[in-house]
Parts: sequence; structure tokens; C-alpha cells
Amino acid sequence: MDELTIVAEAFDEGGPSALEAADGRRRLEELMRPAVPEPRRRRWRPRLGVGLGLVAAATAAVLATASLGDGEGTPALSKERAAEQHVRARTFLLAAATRLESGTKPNPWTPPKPGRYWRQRTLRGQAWHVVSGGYVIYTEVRSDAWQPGTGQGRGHFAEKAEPVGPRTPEDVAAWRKAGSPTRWRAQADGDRLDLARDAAPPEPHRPVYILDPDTEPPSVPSRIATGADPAAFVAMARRDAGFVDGRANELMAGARYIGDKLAAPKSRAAVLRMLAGLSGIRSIGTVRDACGRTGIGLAAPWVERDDGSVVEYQLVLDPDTDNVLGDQMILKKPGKSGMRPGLRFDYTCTLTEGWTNETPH
Amino acid sequence: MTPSTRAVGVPEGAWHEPDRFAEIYDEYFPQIYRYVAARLGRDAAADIAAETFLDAYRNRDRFDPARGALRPWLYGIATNLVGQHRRTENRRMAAIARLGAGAVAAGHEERVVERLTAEGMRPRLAAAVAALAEGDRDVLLLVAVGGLGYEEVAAALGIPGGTVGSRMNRARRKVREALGRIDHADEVESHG
Repeated sequence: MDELTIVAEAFDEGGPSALEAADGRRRLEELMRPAVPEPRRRRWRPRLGVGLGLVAAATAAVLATASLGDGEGTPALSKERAAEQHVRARTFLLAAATRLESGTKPNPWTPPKPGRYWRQRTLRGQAWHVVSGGYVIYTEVRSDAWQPGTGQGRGHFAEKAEPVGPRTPEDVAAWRKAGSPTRWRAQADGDRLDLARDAAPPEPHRPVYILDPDTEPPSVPSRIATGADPAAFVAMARRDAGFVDGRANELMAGARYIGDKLAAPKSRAAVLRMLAGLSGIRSIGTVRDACGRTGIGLAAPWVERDDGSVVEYQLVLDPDTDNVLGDQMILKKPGKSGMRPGLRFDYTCTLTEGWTNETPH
Repeated sequence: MTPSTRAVGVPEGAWHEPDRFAEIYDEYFPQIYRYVAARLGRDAAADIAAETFLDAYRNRDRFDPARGALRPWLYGIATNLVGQHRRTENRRMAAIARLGAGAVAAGHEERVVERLTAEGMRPRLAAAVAALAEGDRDVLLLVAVGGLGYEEVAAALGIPGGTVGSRMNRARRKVREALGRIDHADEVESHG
């Protein structure tokens, strides 16, 4: 045997499995599919963190962002590191899809057998930089959505604003040093507005998942019907215009679909596989969501916001169930906002979700 | 096994026809996968091999059939992608090299037979390949694993044919040295 043959045989790992070959072909076919017109982006105040009556006067240039590159787009990481994290994310998403379909994790999917209401409780928040104080305060809103299971009758939606104020020890210290004010002139993402500690409850806004661009919010029966068909479900996820640019938007939009527990596992698995095909998506290991829960973090390429700040969109998944715990934007570069890197700029947590026969309260 | 070095019969025109690009994938994916798996292991191979074709499709307008064939172009893309995973490759080679220590526990006859196979030579080969300069390693593995000829390697890496030859000479010498040490060790052992 000459040395080249020995080398070839020594490192030979065999050819691809049929599944691997088919998966690669599917990714290629997705890429080759004719491009569809860019969907119209919607303006959605709540995504800015505060669909709140208290920001009615804000001059919202909502989340006008630019993706920093299509693939790597993560300047602090070497290409190799980003590529490694991408492989991990892809492996995780594909495995999660398989787990979801096969039920190998205790996934609390509720079959489409409606109770009186589908109830979802969420927490949303956003950081605001106090212009004159040099510290950061947060607006937070707890929402409680009750959608009638039959699609008939009234739904109920309640929101409660948490007291506005600092959350981290250093911000609390800076706030005290400034005299513990309860009213602020603050800014974020190009918006400037006046905030008060005890603001009136905000106007109603949408539940977190499944924002059908055509008919928002869809009824529970509509969600179940759409969620029963993987192709339709994926198509809807693809059409979702979202709120930011690039891969971050696709991950953010996809998160709402994989997190829709009214959809069949096979449909959510199809969206997981779609996300696995996105370039630039990275697995960043264990992260905490805004509610302090530990999960597996998937991150998108960074995006630049209106004010020059750069953020990383992170999706946080429950390691036990693969369900969505929440998502968050982590500040990577401060821009003109004055906020420090590493800060949780904008976030959502899903607190509870499922059928209930209770009366809305 | 070394992949075939035959000129693969995918119609060159398919390169510019999106509908037929899948034919190219079907023809070349297995061998690109095999090449990547040999360098990075199976865990990463599916993703990197698939990325090779996505990259090729995105940049298909840059491919000029007059300047070379499809296969070296694809191997060039795959090699670039592998190059973004040097640490993975080095870790893999180091892990294979460490396997050599385990063979000591085997019986004498078993050890000798094992060393006569490519499998048995893996640890020392891995150590030798890991020690190669990146350019030398690319050339060696494109030829040995990918089955490319020197001209194809030159096209794949965008380097002169003479450079391919000199890199290949260096790489082969290192590999022979590694294998030579094995032969020598066997000889000593068989007399002991």
C-alpha cells in the first residue's frame, strides 16, 4: 500500500447516511426556491418593550435595524468559533425536532381538545437609559391572555405594569445617588420619553405567539388548524414579517411558532428544522432568561439599532422540554444609548400557558 | 477507500441552471461529505458538506467552466470551510493520535497485525498530519482523500501547480517518516 492509500483509509469515516444526504438536499432546495417578496414589516409598539399608554407620546421609529452581515455577523467572534457554535445550534435544533416528534422528552403538548380558554401569561420588559442619571431603568408588563377555546365569545386580556425603576444593584445604587426619583426622562432605540414609576396600565396588546400577518390575532381553532399542517405552519412562519432584520428576525419569528403549544409536534418540529437551516444561528450554551430561569441559548447574528447600539437576539429554550422559555436582546455595543454592554435590553418570558376551564379573573 | 478520480459526468451547464443544481448535489455530495468527514469527523461533516453546496449555489455566477471543472471548485469551497474549523480538525487528529496509547495493552500478535493495517497506523498518521502546515495538509488530503490530481488541487486552492508539487513532497515525506518509524518499531519488536 502506498502512503496515500494508507492516509485515505486511515481517516475514512464512510459516506453520508440517507438522512444526512436528504437533509442537505432539503437545505439546498430551500435556498434555490424563488425568492418571495419581502413582507411588509409591521410596527408593533409592544415589541419595543412597551405598548404602553405611558409611552403614547414616544416618537417611535420602531426597531429599524440592520443585520451585521448575513452569516457571521458577530464581530466579537472568530469565524471558526462562530462556525462551531453554528454546528452546535444546528445539531441541537435537529435533535429537538426529532425529540418533539418522537416524544422522547416530556413535552407538555396539549392535544387539540379545547377547554374553555387557552390562557397565556407573559412578562415583557425593556431597558431605558436615564438621560441625566447615567443609569438604566426598566419598564415591565405582565400580560394575561384568555382566548376562548371555541373561537366564539369574548376573550379577555389584562395587563399590569410593574413599577418602573432600576433592577440591577449598580443601577439601584446610581438611582439612590440621584435622589431616588420616580419620574424620568429616558431614551432607548432613538426614542425619548417621560416615564413615571407608577404608570397607568397599558393598552391591550397581542399575545406572544402566532402573529398572523393577515388576521391578528387568530382564534384558537384557527391556530389549531394551521398548527396541524406542517407545511402551512412553516409557510406562515416564513411569511412572518417580524420586527428586525436578517437572521435575527427569522429566529425571532420562528420562535413564536416553535413556542406555539397549540400546534402539533410535527409542525413545530418542521419549524425547528427550518431554523436549523438558517446560517449564522449559534448555540451559546446555558443562559438565563429575564425571569431567572436557566435554558439553552440560541443566538442570531448581531443587529444594529437606530441609535447605533448593537444587540444580539437570544432565544432561550427549556433544556428539559425544548419549549421556549423566553427571548431577549442583549446589548453588545452601546451606541448613543449610553447603556452598558451585556445589559438585557429587551425581553419576554412565557410564565404559564395551557387550557383552563376557569372563569377569567 | 480513495474516491474515484474519474471525471464525474455531471453536465457543466447545470451549474447555471438552478433547477438542475440538485443533480450536482446528488453527484458530489457523498464524496464531499467523505472528504470533510475524514478531516473533521462525521459530527460536523453533514453540516459542512451541505454548506459547501449552499455556498457554491450562492456563488455560482463566479464559477467559470473555462477555468476548471466543477469538482475542484467544490473541493476548494469545502477546504475553505474546513479551514474555518481548524481547531476541530486539530482536536480530532489529537484524539486519534492519543488512541495509540491504548494499543499497548493489546497482545503482541494482535498489535503487529493491527499495525499492518491503515487503521493501526491512524494514531501516528494523525500526529503526522496534525503537524503539517495547513497548506501542506490541504494538499495531502485533497489528493489522498479527495482523489484529486495535482492540477485539480491547484484549481481548488488557487495556487500554482509547482506549489502543489512542493507541498505534496513535504507532506508525503512526513507521512513516510511516520510510517517508517512504525515499520522500524515492528522490526525491533519482532526481533525482541
